[in-house]
Amino acid sequence: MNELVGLSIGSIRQRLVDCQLSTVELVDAYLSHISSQDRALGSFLHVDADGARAAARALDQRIQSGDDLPRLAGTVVAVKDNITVKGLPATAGSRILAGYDPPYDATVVARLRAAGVIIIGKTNLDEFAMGASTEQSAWHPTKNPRDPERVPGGSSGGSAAAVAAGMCTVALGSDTGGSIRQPAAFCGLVGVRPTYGSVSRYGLIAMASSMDVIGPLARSVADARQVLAAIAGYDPDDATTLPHVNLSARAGQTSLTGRRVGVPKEYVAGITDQEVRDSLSATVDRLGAAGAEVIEVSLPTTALAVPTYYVITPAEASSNLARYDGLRFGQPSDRTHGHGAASARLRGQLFGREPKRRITIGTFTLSAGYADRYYHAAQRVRTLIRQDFARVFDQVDLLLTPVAPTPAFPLGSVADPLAMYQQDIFLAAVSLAGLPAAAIPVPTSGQLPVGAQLIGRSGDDNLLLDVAEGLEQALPVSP
Amino acid sequence: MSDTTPTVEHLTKLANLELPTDEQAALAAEFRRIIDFVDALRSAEVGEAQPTSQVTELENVYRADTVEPSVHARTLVETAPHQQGTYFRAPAVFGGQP
Repeated sequence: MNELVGLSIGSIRQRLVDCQLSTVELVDAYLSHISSQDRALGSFLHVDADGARAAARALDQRIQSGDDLPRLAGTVVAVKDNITVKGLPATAGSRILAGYDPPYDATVVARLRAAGVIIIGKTNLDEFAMGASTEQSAWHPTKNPRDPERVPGGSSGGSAAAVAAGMCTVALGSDTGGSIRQPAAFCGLVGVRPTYGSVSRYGLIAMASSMDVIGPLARSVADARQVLAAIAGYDPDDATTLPHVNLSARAGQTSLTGRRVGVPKEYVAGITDQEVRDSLSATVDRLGAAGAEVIEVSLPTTALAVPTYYVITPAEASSNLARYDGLRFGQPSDRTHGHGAASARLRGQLFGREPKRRITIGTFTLSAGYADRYYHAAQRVRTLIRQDFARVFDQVDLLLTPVAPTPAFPLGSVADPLAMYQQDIFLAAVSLAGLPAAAIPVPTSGQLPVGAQLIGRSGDDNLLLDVAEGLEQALPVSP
Repeated sequence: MSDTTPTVEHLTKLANLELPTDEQAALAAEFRRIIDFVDALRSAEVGEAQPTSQVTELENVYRADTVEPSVHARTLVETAPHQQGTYFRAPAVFGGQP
């Protein structure tokens, strides 16, 4: 493998500054790596070779003319296909959006471009980000670069596989109920879900709007943090962004000495896999050895998180997916039967099984006579889940949990929708509460990567990333 | 799930989804299992807890009433399968023929 494709954000920029590397050379190395690797893995839905080369030439000209280089100069980014990039397709993994070329950049994409990145293409996902394996893409499944017989996780599985296989420097994913954190864990990467409201959703194709966030998948905490710092902040185009977001590009105090880390006993009780159990206890031991104080805490609502999530998410998704009726984007409806019949037929034909399930469930849980028992009840439990977290964050700075119940599972082995929903057991509560969380690789006795999840207080993303970086240094994980 | 729960056939009609009969049957079976699963919520002791619909705690987000550069209507309309000028062209909403 060409060593260029393994470079960090910082080392790319340094080589460009020192004229040891040109951006065109770097982009060509990634494109050639994609050509040789991605036929087998299926990470990308669209590779923008021409656009990436043109952006690379423009950056090289700036370097030659002696301009100051932006912070992410030369970073090559892959973008999940539910995030708009002007002029590139955005299918969100669905046939219903085939042929849609969005006329605008998502805010995160515009900010990354301003920071000097090169967009190399769009990555595969479970349809509308509904899934945990990337097998539910309407186009093709993506394979895990660490073991191509296994899934890369999902829904940001294309982004995770692209980073893990060296086909980009970093990638953008989206996380509603774990879709950044779980694929990061399955592919041995760092994946960060920032505090809800700290990163704009403008240009993110909506699934469950009260939980959807955009974040990075990267090979190190430092790379993830640089991307987050570039994309975070208030955006007038997204009224749910917070007015004051302070996300630092540089690490602060990464020492673990004196940090108070809670391990929720309900999460530990939920572990059924020996490798996951061993990895978590090894991580606890290393945290302790590095000077952190690790204590047991309790989150009594833990068992309610997945049922709550699978009421609220389908409710929001059924509303968000109502807009795909063949009028404004994507595939046209058959116009011989009037709008109602034409759009119902189009939706029945072009949505996949999981979107149809969620639309139906959401229609039910929001319907008159049932909303109190399901949707409003779930909203009340959501309050209890937030209160649980608020209570433990009086005692500790951060929480440590597993990411997924098992390491990456074989393709085709989880066919039952309810079994797939159980992938979210350690992840959904964080989403419901809007907290920041990071998945980072931890040592394991097995052959496949295992991740641990660090959870921070709302708005405390800097502390979360400092501790994640400290833990990364204390836990050398072999690649 | 109780016997009075609406049928999947009725729900998919409300959701504007026309499904083939075999898919309807499979969805009905999955629907029952998923609703039984989320029925776990009924055991929750919510007491006086108020509903949470969003977590930012932002309220009444206003902006100045000024025109700012934006994507032009024509550009947005051009992404539609059928358009006419700056309008989306829709099939007939009432009656059968366009």
